Amino acid sequence: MTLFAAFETVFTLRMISLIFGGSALGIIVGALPGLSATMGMALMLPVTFYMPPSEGILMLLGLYTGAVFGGAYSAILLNIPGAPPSVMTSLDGYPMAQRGEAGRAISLATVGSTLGGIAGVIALIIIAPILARFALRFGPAEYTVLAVFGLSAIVAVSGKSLARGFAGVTLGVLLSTVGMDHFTNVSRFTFGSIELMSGINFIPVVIGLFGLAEVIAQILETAKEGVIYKAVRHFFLSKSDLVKVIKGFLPASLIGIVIGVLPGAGGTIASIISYNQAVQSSKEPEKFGTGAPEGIIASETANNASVGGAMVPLLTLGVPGSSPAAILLGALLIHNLRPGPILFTTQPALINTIFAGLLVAQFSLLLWGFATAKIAPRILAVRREVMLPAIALLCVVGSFALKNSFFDVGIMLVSGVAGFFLNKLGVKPGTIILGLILGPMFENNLRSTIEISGILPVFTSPICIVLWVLTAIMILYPLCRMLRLKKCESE
Amino acid sequence: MKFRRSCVLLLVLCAAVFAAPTAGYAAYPDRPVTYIIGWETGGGSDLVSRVLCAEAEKHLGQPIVIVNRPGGSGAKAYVEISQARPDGYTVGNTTGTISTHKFMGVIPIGHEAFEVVITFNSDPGGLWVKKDAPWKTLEEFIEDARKRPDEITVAASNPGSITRLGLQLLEVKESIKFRIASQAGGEARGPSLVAGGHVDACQAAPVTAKSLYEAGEIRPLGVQSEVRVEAFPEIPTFMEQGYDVVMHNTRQILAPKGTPKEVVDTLYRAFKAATESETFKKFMNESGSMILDWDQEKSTKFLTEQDEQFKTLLQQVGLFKETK
Amino acid sequence: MLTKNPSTALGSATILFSVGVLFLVSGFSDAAESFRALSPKVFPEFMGYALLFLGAVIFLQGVRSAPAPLFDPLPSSGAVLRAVAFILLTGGHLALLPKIGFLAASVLFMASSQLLLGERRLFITLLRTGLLVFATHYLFSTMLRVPLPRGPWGF
Repeated sequence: MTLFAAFETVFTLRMISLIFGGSALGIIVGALPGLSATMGMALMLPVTFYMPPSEGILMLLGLYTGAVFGGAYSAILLNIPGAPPSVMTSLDGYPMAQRGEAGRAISLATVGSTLGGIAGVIALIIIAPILARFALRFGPAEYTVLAVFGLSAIVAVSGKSLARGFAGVTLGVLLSTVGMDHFTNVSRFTFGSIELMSGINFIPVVIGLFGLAEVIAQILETAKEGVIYKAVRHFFLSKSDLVKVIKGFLPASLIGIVIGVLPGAGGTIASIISYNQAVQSSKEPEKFGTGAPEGIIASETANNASVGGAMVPLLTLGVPGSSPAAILLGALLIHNLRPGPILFTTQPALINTIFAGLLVAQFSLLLWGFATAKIAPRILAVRREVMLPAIALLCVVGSFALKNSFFDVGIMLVSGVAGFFLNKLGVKPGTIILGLILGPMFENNLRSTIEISGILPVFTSPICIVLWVLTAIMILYPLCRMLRLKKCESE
Repeated sequence: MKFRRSCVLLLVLCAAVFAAPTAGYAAYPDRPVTYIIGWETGGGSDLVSRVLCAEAEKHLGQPIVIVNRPGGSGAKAYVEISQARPDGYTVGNTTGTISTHKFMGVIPIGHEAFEVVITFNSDPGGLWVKKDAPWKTLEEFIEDARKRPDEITVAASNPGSITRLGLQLLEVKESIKFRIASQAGGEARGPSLVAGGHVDACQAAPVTAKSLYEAGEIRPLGVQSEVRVEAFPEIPTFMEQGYDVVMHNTRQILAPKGTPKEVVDTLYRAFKAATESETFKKFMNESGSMILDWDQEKSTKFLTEQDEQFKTLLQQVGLFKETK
Repeated sequence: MLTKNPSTALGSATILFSVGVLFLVSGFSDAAESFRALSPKVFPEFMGYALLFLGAVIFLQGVRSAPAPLFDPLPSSGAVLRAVAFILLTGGHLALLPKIGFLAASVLFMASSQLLLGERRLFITLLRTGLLVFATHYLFSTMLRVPLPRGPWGF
């Protein structure tokens, strides 16, 4: 069955409603802080047992797509990234919403996610085998340098003070070392607590740093009660916004696809690198962090493109490119289907149906996104006496839901209070998160490399060299620009 | 007037709060059972358990709510299960770490702190190399390792993990030394690293390596079970090839100590029926994993033996910690 | 001097923190097996020194610039009290969750925090509380099958 014939199978009422329904559920799961795509898919997994495999898989794919997109809602409206891949979206989405342009932000996220997702699927369909080969060439050395590359985003998220930016990242990295060390079973910073032994999970920290800290800031802001909401101005995208989307689409999608393909690196890291790239290639980098549409576009396009990317190693090699993809693997296994080259030859119809269904799922984002772009911002119209406690409740429940852990809620609380003070003193939450997410990737892979072969490959492997060059560009380019600006000012 | 209304509403609220799902004292089970998985969502243990529970629900008559409590390779979950009320509404699963943690000083308890409901799964360890690797047989590999101690790189999991223990058992038995490289995140990455040429070999259960094996990227040198794995009849065992190395990662379901026998029996029947379901069998077969259905007596006996075996091994590799 | 401006405050806090970190790191045990890989101490130690250095940089930046208030604009004492109380309420919510369960603890939290933030109408407060708490409970506990803590009375 060719791909076009597969579309016929997909365009039935049942299939379409499964995909769109899965996508809607995914958006809800993604929008709720603390719940991730993986959790949502794991919950729906048993439902797929008794459906024909194509239906079950497509519903899960819809969920996955929706969840990666859904995180943007809470990122934009509440400053809490609903799902890790949307961390960067809140950096510009929330300020934009505070200006009264929440609808515009959601629309930008919608279009960006859809286009990125489509790019991901097309890459999956056309060049999956090549990408898979590429993924295999990433060993510990390459992941080490990839982490460094990701960390070069320090410059982009630091705001005014570079020293504070580095301090924030260092703090984040230190936090990531808490727990029992993987390599030696030595406990680091655990103070004898079994809870701390497994480390500090970064989702409660994100919820605290972004959500609770903002709530505290809001309480302090005005002495009297008042509404936060301003009239929704922009809704559909203006022509200039559309141009920005088209401009940002290509680099963001490429980054999303390539990073998504790598097992162990998914939408979160893709959006970090994509955001960094957008900042560096922009003519007005200072606008980022204050509500620049390019920021939202870069982040959302990349994270949805990574969905298609994560499917590449899953379908071609049977190796999931991300946690949600692992659930998909499980769903396939239950139906006696093992993804890999064998599946391509024995079940071409199913593979094509998956391709077609995933493509359709991206369009579901357009539907849900635009349908909600006008209504969702209304949530900001709620009076702050209710809004702030409700957000706090959501923070608590979200941090708890992750691992059914009161301790995580405690972490969220501490992060919130500490994050508030740090933010006031100039240390941006984005920097801490950057360190928290990329720290383990750097340290673990570096130590792995040294265990295997000593540190040399980190500098000599071809992929590493490319990544080093890119990192250098990412750091030197803005520095040059700053110097040039200083020169111009002094003349 | 407003105040009266508020009082009424407050009363209604209280009534609703107290009238919401109430605990009854009817026959077990009369409300959902919580199942704690000590590993990440989407991981190996997680998926197997989810499929099992989805089937067991039907035979139990009540929903099984799955909760992920990752941390210390199951350590956190074990502690939590052991401290739960022994009423049959909290259970959870294990892997081989139930026998290793207490000897390494991670947590002070082992299987004696629980009622073991059922052993439902077993995965032997295996050794895998790249498809075009120079070693054609296990013997060639081991002899090469003997000639070049500390040079052949093998990816395994963190110290004390079953994966690594299997490899270390081989090292001890044959007096050879590999260059073992740990992977954060368990053995899942091993096969990919081998396929990409970053390490020479990896220790992984056939379950973990199956995808890349079928894709033709890697091939097995042997499995560490007593008999050949049903799903992989072509892979010879270590024992067949003359090496007495047997290492399994088994999974059990635990309930807190003191759970009444009838409750444990009910749970056993439900989960046993689940292991016999079509869905579970298809899943395990496709994964390449072995299904077991040992009851409490057999499981407890097995775990006691496993404790001994692991204790000795841990002492040999220097990971044993005296517990106070 | 320490609180001359935000930079000196942050700088000194950072220095103190990193000293604490380095102290803790020195207490890590060295690995039992001999590992070629970096000892688990190396990385956190390096980060500790980096943080120390950065703290000094920030402190010096503060010394060299003009005095400035730490919080600008300074919030009113009422707002500060409210914020502190809110944080305590959230902490109380967390503390009560394992003891009396989600429904009871959240009802208490939602009602009291709304009143704290200035809501005067008791009736509306309770109404909103009921709606929000039950909606959240339904969403998570029933729809998403995420078990929320139960109190001693079973729910």
